[in-house]
Amino acid sequence: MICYNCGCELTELDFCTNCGADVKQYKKILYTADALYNEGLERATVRDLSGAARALRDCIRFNKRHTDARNLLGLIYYETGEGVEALSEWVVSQNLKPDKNVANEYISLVQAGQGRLETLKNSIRKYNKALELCEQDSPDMAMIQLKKVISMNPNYVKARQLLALLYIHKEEWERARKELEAALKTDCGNLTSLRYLKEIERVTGIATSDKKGRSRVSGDGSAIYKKNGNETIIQPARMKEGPGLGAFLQIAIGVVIGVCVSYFLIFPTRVAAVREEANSKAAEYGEQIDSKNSEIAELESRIGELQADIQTQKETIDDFSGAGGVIDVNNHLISAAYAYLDDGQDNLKVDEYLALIPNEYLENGASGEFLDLYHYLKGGIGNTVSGSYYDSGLEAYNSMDYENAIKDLTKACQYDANNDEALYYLALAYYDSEDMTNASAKFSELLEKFPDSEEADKARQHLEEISE
Amino acid sequence: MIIFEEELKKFHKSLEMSDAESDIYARQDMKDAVDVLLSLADGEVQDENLDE
Repeated sequence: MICYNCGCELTELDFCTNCGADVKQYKKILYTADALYNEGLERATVRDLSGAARALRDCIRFNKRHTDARNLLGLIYYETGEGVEALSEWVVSQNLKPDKNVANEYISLVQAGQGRLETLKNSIRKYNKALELCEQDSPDMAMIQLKKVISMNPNYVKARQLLALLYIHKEEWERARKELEAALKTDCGNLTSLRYLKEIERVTGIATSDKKGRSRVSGDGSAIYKKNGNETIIQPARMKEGPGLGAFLQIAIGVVIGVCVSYFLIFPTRVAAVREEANSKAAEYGEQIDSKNSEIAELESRIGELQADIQTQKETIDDFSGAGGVIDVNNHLISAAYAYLDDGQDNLKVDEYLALIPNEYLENGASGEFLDLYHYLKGGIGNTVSGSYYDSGLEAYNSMDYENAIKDLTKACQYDANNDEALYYLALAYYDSEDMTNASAKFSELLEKFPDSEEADKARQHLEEISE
Repeated sequence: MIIFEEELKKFHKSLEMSDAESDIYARQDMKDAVDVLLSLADGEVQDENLDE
């Protein structure tokens, strides 16, 4: 509590220790306001909303800055259907204490629910319209309006009281009683509601407490007596009600709860389990895929190796069976040997077969036995073939066909290395074909191999001519 | 005994949204017991000053 004069915190003394102002009466006022607030709170707790509102309004008359009282009063107004008054109290409270004030929350909640706010406004408007109709002596129209108001805002106490008054005016006592009972459920201490109810009880002679499902059993227990207004209902005591709508509804609610439990508790767990299982399987399949990929890579590598092997084997087979292969070459050698042994064939045929054997094979791949036979055949036909080539080469030379002359004479020299004439004419063929390099080489070879031959002097002369 | 016309007079219109602004000002501007006390205290001070 602070001093009204200087704003300093007050002590238990009756004057301000700071400015000396007399605060005795001031303190009494504030204490009274607090006491009224407490009373209002207690009454509100037991739903005596009229009494609570009265106490809280008094509290505010003592201390208009009592924001708690204003907030609670606003709540009571809101509960009884007086929405605008509720908002007014909360706005004033908010202005007095902008921070840490629950009124902010109340205002936000009301403003957030636009549908609710609209309903509140409409119900107030219709209530005011109904009151105007009553004053204009149109109770039936007013009742229609009030029923709409109550359907929109069932806690609107004033609307229920006015409707009850109209029912009383029309002497529809039970309907009036029903409205008043509903109004008292919202505000149990409302004097107007209690007064109207008392009047209904006086007129009808039936207490409201007797209306609330009071029943008594007959002396022999065979029947139950229930009072409904002016009527008494007699019900057999042993009559059992069959499964009606209530039982069906309970079963339906049970089913709905079961479904909800399944949906919110069991289903997520099951989904999580299934998901976990799926993840596990996915991981397993992933491992299998990796393993298979590894196997595939290994097999591809093996395929590459095998293809390389196949290629090697193919090449080996080609070496044996293809053109120029071992088999082919052996066939040539066999054919040459056969031709050599066959008297019907001349030695040139042997030479043709031997010529088919490539030099590369002779130098690298031929076995010793192969070479022995080859050289034997070559030696056997050497002189004969050399002579044949010499004759044909000389004939070509004489006819100035130097190209064929060189070809045949070269072969003549190959088959018979001692054929000095063949070598001389070979050199001459080069000389006459103006290939002086080869001519010089061949003349030199002749002089070297056969220095004493008849052709040596001629060769020497030609060499001198070439050198000049 | 309830007299309809008399009872009807006790019912008043509820405040509508259009009335909210003026109602808020009225509630803020109202004088409470503290205001009365302070005004009384001011009067006493003024009286004392006049006496002096």
